[in-house]
Amino acid sequence: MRIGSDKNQTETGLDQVGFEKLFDAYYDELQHFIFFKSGDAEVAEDIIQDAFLKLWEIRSTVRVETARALLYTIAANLFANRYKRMKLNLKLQLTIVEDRTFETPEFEMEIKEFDQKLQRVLSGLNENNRTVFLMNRIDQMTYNEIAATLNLSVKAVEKRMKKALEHIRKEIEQKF
Amino acid sequence: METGKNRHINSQVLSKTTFDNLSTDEKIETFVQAYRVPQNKSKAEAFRILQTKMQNHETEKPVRNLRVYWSAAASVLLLALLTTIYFYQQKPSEIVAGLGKHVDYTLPDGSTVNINADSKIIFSESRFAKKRVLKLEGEAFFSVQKGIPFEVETKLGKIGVLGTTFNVYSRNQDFIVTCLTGKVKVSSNDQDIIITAGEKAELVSGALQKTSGLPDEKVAGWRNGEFHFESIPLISIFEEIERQFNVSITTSGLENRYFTGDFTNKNLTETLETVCLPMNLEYEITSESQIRIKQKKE
Repeated sequence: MRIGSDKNQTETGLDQVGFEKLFDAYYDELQHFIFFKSGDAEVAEDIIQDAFLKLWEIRSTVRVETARALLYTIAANLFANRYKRMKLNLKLQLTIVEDRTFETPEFEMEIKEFDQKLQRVLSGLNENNRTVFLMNRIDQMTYNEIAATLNLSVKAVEKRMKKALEHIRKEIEQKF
Repeated sequence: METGKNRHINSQVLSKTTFDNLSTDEKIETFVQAYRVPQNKSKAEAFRILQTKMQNHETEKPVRNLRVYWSAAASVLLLALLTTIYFYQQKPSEIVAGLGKHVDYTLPDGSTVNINADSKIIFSESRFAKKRVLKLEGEAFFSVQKGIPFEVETKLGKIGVLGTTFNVYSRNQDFIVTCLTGKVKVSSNDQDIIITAGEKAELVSGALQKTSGLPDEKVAGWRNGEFHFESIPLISIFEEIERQFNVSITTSGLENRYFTGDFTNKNLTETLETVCLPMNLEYEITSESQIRIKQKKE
């Protein structure tokens, strides 16, 4: 997932090739990152476009090894400035309902209902907690990795994970 | 990073019975891991659009952005800070006694733990001063210094004390706490019982039972390499021998047999004789650490 070291590593500045490499390596996870915050694929994609554009503007000062965290920071700032207190309605795709037949239509309903409830609960989570939680669970980033990309301590990541889980558990149990 | 990385759920989860049997947490995990982030346009498309924007944007501002230097400086500071924090708040310590080994360990508060073979304790060094809590897997003998409450957590139950000496055995489905001095509170499945010196609490089919009148030297004799058993399943005895001597023992047909007696961990053949002779069994050491137990032919 990370761009490996090469001879340019300690040099400052990005060329077209280096830039494309960054885009290729980090586009998806960044799009996910803003999606976890916004719940909207379109918004996420726009923000990431602009984040890379910004990176291109300042390319002469960018170092490859710090680019990932920088992109996360830029994206998070762009999102925070543009979409203050956006009402959230997470629409994740549930892979288990694709191309499947269920035992009974009732059971299919049950699965879909649980899915909707869970997505509502996730939408209701505190933005930071949700983002960290989904980065870990959906993108399978380790706590250390998340801490490094978001400039957080591992302890802070653990705390957010714990809060997210507690909230989800509580809400789901209440609503069932 | 690509969306395909998401783990897909195997189809059996979709059966109604499996789904209904999942706990809330398991349901949440199952679903969250089956989620995929939607994308309206592919990465390639996104890059083409970006390139057009980049061309329109052409002239790169030659101004060196001060903020980048600031953030670089901040990153360095943060890194230094994180390193410091890392060294101060270490990960939980794990003290492990391997097969055939005993480990004596002194906790930060001065309490001592003797850890039996194939057992471990886990605790957080940094938090131990405020909260004396540790996890135990296997068997250990504790000699607790007086002070704030001291807690031992195991898979099947919890033990809370103030300052005493006691032994905990927590393996498979067995959970046995023996108290040598002082008073010990044992909790399991919402049931609490208090045992005092010479008493033992044991989990029997889900409930804690108290037995009293244990002679001192039989409690946690394993610390001196002496093992005492009273009507203990023979299979558990051989498991203990496996742990103490780091060997592997195969048995058959011993399911409903019980053993009362002692052995030491000094000599393997002596120990095998001690157990096999009264039980009318034969042992065969097939290789350095492989032993087979058979019924003695009449």
